[in-house]
Amino acid sequence: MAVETYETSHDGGWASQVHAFTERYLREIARSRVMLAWSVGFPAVFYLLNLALFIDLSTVPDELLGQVKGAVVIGFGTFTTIIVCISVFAQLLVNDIEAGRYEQFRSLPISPTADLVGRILAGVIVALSAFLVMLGIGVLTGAEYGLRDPASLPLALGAFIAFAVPWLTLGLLLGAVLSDARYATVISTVAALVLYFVTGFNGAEPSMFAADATLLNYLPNTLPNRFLNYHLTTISNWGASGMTPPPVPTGPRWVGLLAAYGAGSFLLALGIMRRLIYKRGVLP
Amino acid sequence: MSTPALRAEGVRKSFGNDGVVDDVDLSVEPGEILLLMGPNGVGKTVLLSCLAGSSRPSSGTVTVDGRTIGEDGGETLSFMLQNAMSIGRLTGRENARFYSRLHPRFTDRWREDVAAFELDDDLDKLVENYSEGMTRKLELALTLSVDVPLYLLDEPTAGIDLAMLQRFHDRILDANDEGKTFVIASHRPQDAELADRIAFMVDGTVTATGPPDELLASVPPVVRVAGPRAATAAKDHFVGGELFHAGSEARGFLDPESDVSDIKAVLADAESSGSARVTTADPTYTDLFNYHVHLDGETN
Repeated sequence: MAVETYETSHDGGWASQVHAFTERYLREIARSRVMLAWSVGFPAVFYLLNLALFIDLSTVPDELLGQVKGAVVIGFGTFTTIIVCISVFAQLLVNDIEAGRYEQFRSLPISPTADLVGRILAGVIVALSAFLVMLGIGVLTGAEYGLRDPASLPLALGAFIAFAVPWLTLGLLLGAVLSDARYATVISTVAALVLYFVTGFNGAEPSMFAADATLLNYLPNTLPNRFLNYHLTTISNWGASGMTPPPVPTGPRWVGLLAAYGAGSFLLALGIMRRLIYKRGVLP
Repeated sequence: MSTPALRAEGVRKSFGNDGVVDDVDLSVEPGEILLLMGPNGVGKTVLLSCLAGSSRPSSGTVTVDGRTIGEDGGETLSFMLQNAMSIGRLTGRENARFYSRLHPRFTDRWREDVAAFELDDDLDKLVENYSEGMTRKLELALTLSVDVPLYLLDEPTAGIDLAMLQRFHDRILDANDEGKTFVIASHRPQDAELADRIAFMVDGTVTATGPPDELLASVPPVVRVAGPRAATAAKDHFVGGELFHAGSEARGFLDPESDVSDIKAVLADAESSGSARVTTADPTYTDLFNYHVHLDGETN
């Protein structure tokens, strides 16, 4: 009998798989009203409520007000990022596990790294979009931003990615150990809120932090916020903004620490993906 | 002797203290269609997952074309796991696009199959809005689009109407004509028409294996009875004391110690109106299923 041949449209290699997973997760998130509302709507409402009821900017000089509001909004933006990374990532993974989809995926020649990188790319794109939406809402409330120097944009982008990966990893871990997407959402949101307040609005208000304020330049939620604040505002009088002491982290040392957080958590995420999700050895 | 397309030796799978698959040995020859039959919940899907490399057996080994399933890594097989494959928040077309990027041997054959399965007009709808039958059509089309020698299908005809069932069978048989090997888990007796061999699975283990004709020839004589009290009155003359109702009649397997005249005599006493009818019949695949699954091949 003659056997017809059919074309393959993709090579099914690593890059092709990354593309598949990134596109798939982006489509799923874009179509989930609950995820979108939780990712963007909740932090935006949270910011507006705080601005109306709790944030006192009466002592800030007028010439600094726009920039200080910008710094506050960047803090809420990092809060949003944490919410998106943990909650959305955990929900997507729990949904996949509940549907038995990894039973299906494990029968395919899929690279767990491709799945992970696809998830991270989608997570970073969604988190960055939510962050930018938050900055936009900030503009409507009088916030001002500015690039510190020509290197600020790539540095801020790199810092944002390095900032997102540890929280995506936490979302992955929660998704792998929790059996219900609702728990994943509640736990991640409560964790993000507690972190946000305990660390003085992600390091924007060191006076609210009960421990040694120097730590704010080292914690994975506060270091990125303070670093982004430096590069995305043109504040020069940091004392008046309330963000110092400790000094705002700006140099290569802090870039290195952010990169280390990103790389370390990526390796951890890869271990989780290989061992807990794909049921393979931790190492290839 | 050729290397089996798939071999399972002593495969066990347990979750905690619950054994789901118990010491299964199977060998599937290249180009063969093996039907794994059994009711829901006996471990067919778990066994299929072990065979596909999705689930690691608690003990035992699985080889595909002589290589362990781990070494194969999914390169030479395509697995359709019922309801787990298609992604609800993607459209049918997006699902195809997604899977096309995951396997190096995924072809555009699915386009022909979705047309043959009359799903092409629904490809741009979200799969979460598909009926069970539509989902199955998409899953089968995507699974068979991967050009590999071995296919493992979990309940491929569940939720499919009778008219479409034949098209599914035709598609599988066409692929089989091209030399493809199939292991198909099913609880639908109609799927036995596909099989070169049937393996019956009960309580996590394979209880009987053989070509359909041999299995049909091995069941005790089938007796049909009809009448208001016939099934109850005559049940002692049937294997396992059990009859299986099908519409207005009931069918059972004649006990080796009885014959049809015994049943007629009992029914003549029980049915004063004389409405009881007793006839023998050739065994169907449904009879075969009932015998091996519900009676566990009791007289063998």
